[in-house]
Amino acid sequence: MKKLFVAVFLCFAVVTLMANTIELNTIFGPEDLGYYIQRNQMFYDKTGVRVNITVVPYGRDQNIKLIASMLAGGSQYDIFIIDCVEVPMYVESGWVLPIDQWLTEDLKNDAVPFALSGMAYEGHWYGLPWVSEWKSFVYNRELIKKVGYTEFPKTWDGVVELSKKLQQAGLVKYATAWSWAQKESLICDFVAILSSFGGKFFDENLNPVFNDEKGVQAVQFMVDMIYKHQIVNPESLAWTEPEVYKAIYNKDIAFGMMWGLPLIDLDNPEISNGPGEWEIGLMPSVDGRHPYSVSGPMGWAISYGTKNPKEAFEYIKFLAGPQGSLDAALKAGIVPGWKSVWENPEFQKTIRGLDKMYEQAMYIVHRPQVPWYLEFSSVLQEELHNALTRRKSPQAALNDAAKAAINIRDEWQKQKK
Amino acid sequence: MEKRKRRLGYLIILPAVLILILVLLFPLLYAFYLSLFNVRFFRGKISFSFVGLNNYLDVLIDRTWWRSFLNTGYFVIFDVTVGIFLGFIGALILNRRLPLKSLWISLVLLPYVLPPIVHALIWKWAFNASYGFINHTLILFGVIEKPISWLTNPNWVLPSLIVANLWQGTAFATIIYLGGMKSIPDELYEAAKIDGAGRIQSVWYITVPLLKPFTQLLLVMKTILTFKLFELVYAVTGGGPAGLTRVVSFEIYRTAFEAYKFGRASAMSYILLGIVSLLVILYRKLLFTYAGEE
Repeated sequence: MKKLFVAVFLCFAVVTLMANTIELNTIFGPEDLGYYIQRNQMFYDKTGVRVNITVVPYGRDQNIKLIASMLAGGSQYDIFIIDCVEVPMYVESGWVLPIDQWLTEDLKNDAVPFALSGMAYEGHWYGLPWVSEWKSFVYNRELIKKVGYTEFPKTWDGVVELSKKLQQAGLVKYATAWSWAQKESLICDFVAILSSFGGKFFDENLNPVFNDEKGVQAVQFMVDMIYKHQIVNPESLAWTEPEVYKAIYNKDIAFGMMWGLPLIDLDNPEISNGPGEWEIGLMPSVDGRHPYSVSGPMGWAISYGTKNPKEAFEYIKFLAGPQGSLDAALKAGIVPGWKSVWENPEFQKTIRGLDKMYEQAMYIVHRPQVPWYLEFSSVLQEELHNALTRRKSPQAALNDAAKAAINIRDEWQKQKK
Repeated sequence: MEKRKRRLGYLIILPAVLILILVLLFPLLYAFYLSLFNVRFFRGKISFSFVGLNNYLDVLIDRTWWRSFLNTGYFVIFDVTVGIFLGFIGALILNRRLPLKSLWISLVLLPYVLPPIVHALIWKWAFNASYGFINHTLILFGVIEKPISWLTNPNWVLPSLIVANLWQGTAFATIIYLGGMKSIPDELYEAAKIDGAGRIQSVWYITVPLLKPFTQLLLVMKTILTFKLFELVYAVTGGGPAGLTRVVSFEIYRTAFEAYKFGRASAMSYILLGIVSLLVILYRKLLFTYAGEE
């Protein structure tokens, strides 16, 4: 009888303990899953808070599940990774909690500016930087040396000249390739090129200005690179990043743009044909003074429906705060969004070229931070393609995109009222 | 007794009916409900504002929608005509005595069993102008001198995707026809042979008429399936270049999950449902015959 009583008591105690365990739920793709599992265990050991992961086959697949969760109250997933272009939409929909109350001045000062501003909307912060990537400009040092260059040109005119020399020398069929398929990757490249011409998307009242003189020059230059100078593989119009990367790894092209920490793969002889030959450079520009590239930072955000916001922030700070980011950068190669990590000697030793990357990090531009971005992006992709396939002039294509942008903006504002 | 039996029967099928209502009827009705509203998410709440048939009207006057519809129409026409014809020829060949027959059947089945996204990625690489095997093979055999930009040339891109779609669509038709041919008794062919019919006559007067129900099934299935075409376009061209390969399912997806206009996307779905239903009714009126009608 006594034994039975003890057994019942123990069962009751275990059930009570389990009931008191706080659990957080999250969702993401399969990349670095092993790393997350290991970190989640460490977090559990430290705090007693368990983090459960739902893995989707591909990162973007999380969106549909997340939206369904948000529509059902937002409690299914407490924390999630948010892309910078989704922040305004999620905020306007009320799906994400601001983290201002926990974001100390130390954290704000330590963040790489673009990484944190990518998580901001209308003066509030909604996520801690994670995978704070941008597109780095990479070039093959050995190839350009063969045509007499020791440094990569800073201006687009210089780039065209170098490209022609490379092609005339028979070193490459096309000097470069871009991810200009009618997809988001086209917009990313366009943002970088537009900024390198000194252009921008919208004025402070969200009126389109990307169809001004600078915007037209930028698109005309993209068109000219394909047809006039013939320095871009014309297949770029069907390529996204994986195809461009393949051309870079094969040394079929001499320069291009890559996300993340490119030299990890470019120095790996199992992947790259030219290990040790590639360098990170600053993005060229029209006058050598606008070396801007495009951002693609993500962040860890907290759902509006979570029942444990404090624990949720503790977790994202553990994982994506400066210390966590250093761990992630060293063990999983996840690009950090904190200055202290970029300046950490241990991190700097991991791969070469980080100094050049960090230099570029100060010249980064976001895609438009508007709640109707995805709809606008889709229209702009098609109009840019109209220009790149010469079905419309750059001016006409950009004007049509601008007109569509105004309609989308106005419709959004009308609905908001 | 009879009544009790019937009641028991209803009781037994009740769970299945309930599940069907839940997973089929409810989403169908809910989508129709959504199509009459502008759905907005704001500050954690969903707001519905009634717009009547405006979503339908907006879609019907949208040129992009009709261009996508026309593109989808090309896919459907080719899949229904060429796909069914090639599938029939394939089934005729596979229905004969062949060495390694199981291997050939498995190979024909392969495109059909591949996940759609894998199918799309295979063709994406096949059409790659620089690395793809199509250009490589054509150049090797001297058919072309320099690579063709299958996916970026506005004249080639749609035909290229139609071919890619046919690869899977033909396999489907072959499987259905092969199953149908197995059900035709050998005695019919033997009797025809004794009567002096040649191979072509046997096919024309026995195989084709007896496979008519299968052709009808294929017509309906292929029309429905091809109107739902999505993965191929999504993965290979993203609707480009310059929107030349946009199809309706892709348009619906973008409207729902990129523009978050669930009301309009639902209206698009219902318009598509209406058009496909109309086509199926037309097939039934014009082409279908039933037992006793002939």
